[in-house]
Amino acid sequence: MNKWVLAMPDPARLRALIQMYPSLRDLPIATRNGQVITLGDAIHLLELGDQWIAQRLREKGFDPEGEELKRLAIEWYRRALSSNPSLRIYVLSYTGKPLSLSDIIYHIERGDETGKRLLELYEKMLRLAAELSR
Amino acid sequence: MSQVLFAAATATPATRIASYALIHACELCRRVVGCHLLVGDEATPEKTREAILVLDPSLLGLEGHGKPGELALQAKRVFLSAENHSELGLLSGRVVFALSCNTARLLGELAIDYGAKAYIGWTEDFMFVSETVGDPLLDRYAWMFFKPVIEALAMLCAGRTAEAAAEHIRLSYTRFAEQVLRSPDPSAQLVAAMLYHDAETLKQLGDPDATCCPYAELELAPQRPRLAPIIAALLVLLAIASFK
Repeated sequence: MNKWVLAMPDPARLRALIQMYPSLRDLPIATRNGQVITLGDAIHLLELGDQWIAQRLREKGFDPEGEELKRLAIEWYRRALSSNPSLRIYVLSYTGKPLSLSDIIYHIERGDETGKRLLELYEKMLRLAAELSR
Repeated sequence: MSQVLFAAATATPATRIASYALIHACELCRRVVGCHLLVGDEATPEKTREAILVLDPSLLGLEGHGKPGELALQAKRVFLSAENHSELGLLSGRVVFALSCNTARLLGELAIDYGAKAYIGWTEDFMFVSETVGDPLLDRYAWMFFKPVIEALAMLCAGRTAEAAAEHIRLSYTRFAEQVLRSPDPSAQLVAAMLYHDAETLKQLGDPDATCCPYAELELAPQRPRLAPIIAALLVLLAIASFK
């Protein structure tokens, strides 16, 4: 069972969510025909009556899986880091060097401990968005 | 007067940034206790061990790279290890704060077994973001990760309990995450996710009521640059210029 399913995707509630938390507008939540759809995109599509996104949110909510999860997580990091080229991610484990976007992609694709940790950060945002939108 | 000892590694960019937390904390703690600081090349396992034996600190603050069963100091040299229990005895009777990854998962538990009064640390990676490699209090994002740590250490020096110090960090991280998410900053989600992660994985082991020092009043004034006087001065200059 999907963890964070929205029983009835309500565009008004979702729009209120991003008005309160503007940064969540750019949260990647799904892919469609290879294109990344953000929470802001999804709200717009819902308001236009797009049935695909409505069904997708009913069935999967904010809970992508497998390769889609990896793709969306990578996109999430890419947006955060490319918008601010001076921003660096640091971890007080044994590397000590900041993680670059290519490091992040490598670990997520490899599925190692660091990759799992990086995926979990993205999933935290998905879970938060789901909880706030209920 | 109670004695506290902080030892901070600086050899990597991550530890260089994190070391400022102990440096600033020691500046605050010196108002109420005797605070001794080993930084960088001074923060070797040997010098730290010697300082513990000489000073008998009631609070030990350590910053460096970590694994569940290891905490390293300068140049990634291991200071505490789950495999070398002889050094764990150094922690007996003390409150320990470990600004490091993962050590609360195993090393911290062993520290309590070996008599540490309390151990505050993280059970998973301690993660943060920064735009600069320097004092995190001057960085747009890093200050959110380290200001609470500085305040928690100062709270311990002022006689507050281990659980109060840990809870202060958790609450601060959660509050900052909430605030940053309300901004349109494209990096906000990443910053918030890390703050939530660090809040959730911070653990206080041992006696939650453990204290290291007698209670003292201590003003927690963070060392962020104060913009109000600078802005006021600029406004005065502008006003003067406009009258010429």
